[in-house]
Amino acid sequence: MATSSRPNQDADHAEVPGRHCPKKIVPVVLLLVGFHLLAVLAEPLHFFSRSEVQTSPEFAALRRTLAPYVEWLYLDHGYFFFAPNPGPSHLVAAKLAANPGTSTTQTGTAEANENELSMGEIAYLFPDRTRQWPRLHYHRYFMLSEFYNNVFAPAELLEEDRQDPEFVARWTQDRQFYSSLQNSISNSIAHRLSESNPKLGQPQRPSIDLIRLERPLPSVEQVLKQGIRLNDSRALEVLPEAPGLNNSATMSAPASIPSVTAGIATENKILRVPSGEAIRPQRLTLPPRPSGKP
Amino acid sequence: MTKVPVSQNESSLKSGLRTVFSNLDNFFLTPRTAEILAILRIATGAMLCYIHCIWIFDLTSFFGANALLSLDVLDALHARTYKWTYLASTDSLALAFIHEILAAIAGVLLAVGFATRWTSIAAWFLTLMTVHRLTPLLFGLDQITLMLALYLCIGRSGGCWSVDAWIAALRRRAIKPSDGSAAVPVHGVILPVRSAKLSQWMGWDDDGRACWSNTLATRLIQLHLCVIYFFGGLGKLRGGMWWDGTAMWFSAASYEYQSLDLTWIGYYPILGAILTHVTLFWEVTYFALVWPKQTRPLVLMMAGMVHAGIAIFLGMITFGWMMIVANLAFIEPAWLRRCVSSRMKKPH
Repeated sequence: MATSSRPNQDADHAEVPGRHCPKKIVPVVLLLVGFHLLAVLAEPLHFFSRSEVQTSPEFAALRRTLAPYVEWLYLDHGYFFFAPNPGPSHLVAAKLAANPGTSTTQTGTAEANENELSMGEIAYLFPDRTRQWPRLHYHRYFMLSEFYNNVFAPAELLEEDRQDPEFVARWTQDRQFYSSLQNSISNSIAHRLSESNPKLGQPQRPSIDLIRLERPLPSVEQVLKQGIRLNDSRALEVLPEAPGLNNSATMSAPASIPSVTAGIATENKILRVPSGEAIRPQRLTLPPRPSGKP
Repeated sequence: MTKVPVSQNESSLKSGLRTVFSNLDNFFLTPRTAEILAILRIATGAMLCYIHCIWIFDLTSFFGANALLSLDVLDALHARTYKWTYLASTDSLALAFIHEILAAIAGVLLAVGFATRWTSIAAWFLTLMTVHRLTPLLFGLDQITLMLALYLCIGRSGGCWSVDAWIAALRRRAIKPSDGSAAVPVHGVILPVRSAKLSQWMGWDDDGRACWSNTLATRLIQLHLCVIYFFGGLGKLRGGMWWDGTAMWFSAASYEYQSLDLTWIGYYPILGAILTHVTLFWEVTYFALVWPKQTRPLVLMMAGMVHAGIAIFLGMITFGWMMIVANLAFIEPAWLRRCVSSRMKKPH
């Protein structure tokens, strides 16, 4: 390979005469290059210089100044690929909810047709490689489920957090965004379900509840010694929507989950519902968590 | 202490600055030919086309009134940012469809190198508009592909292995040579390219010579890659799993990523730890070791292996492939020419 210790002395350049940059514009070109490279650096410097105390002021100023260029050119990346650590994956399950005036089949009734979706069933799951194909298509849904989880803001605050007005203000904003995203995804899935299953939800669209699921990373012992499979749905944890809420309000019964037609259903196992320990909206006080996803 | 006259100080400062300027000029603007950029162009154009085909494949989920990300969500997400896209101004499915079709076509034209000067800009711009509409659904693939598309707008990547280069060659044959000899007859279909203005406009007057803009584009790709790897490595340095050697296992044990089973690596903890640490140190030192000729082949070989591993085992074949392609920016066109010519000379 023709390489050189000093990149400005490539043999190639000496050999090939060609079109040179007009002398007059060389300084301008180099200035623009310098500006662009600064913009490339602005976001990662800003991202890495965040802490619980502050963001380093000079990098914050740099990022702020170059914001129009950095953001519009889509240069605002922290480049946190599988960092700081590979983390658990997140999935989103869409459950058919009771919707007054709809003809959604009731779970367990005699009329329930095997091919029809029943109320309380998981009607859609993403990411799901059996439904979302090819792989790039699947990965789009995977990123959406990670995003949905990253922007999560709990339905309620703990008593101690309610005392801090700044905290409450940020929570209100975050919660609003999370709810609008939740509605958007629910509506889209409801539309898709009513398209593919015309009987469902007549005369109006079915109502959808979204459930956040987390698949923790298994240890070597769990996989190689205990024989737990990576896609074992028993490992999936239902993430609560509010402190102290074990999601019993949003999930009729864990036993209803196995009826999902793909992904977790193939395992035919029940989901483990977490004990319902209180969760704190850390996203509100800490810098946004890096997703660790490429 | 000896006093140095002010004028002498000034002159040494000026000569120092001149040297820096000259080195920068050499580094960024010394002309080079387009072979490597042409490879990047073909791969990037094809990938852009594929990316847009996927958006089209599930168009109603990504665009329109029933999109997963409604315009309200997008407005809130991009509030107080400069992420403008005309796709956020309406939820018209027809507009999105036309946009995506045009973007896919632009990708194909970029890959084949037709009117590259314009199709590279079109492919980049149309993709950028999509990116701002669907930000939460993006990942490393979109970052790297858009980065390459941006820099391909700068260089003359259509200078070889392209329809443009083919037309330019036909044109050179068709135009009456200045020495008065007869022009070579060519098919009537290329008559329009006899127009000097049109040819100049479309880039069909390119004679394939080395050009400073090719070097500029290449250098920007190289430096951008260094930034990506350096900060990617720094991010990993913050994590305990990258230090205790378990990161490779936990990457392999993520079902949502897995495409081929790599859990057998758990039987060989030392191998897992070595692979983890080699990846970490390679990524952190990439920006420094990729330049010297002694270490560059090793660094690029490592890049190939790491990204091939991501592509094969972690289900990100598109991302892994584009990272390998981007690393080709560090190969010298002269080396590639020598390889191609020596292969062609070899007796079969």
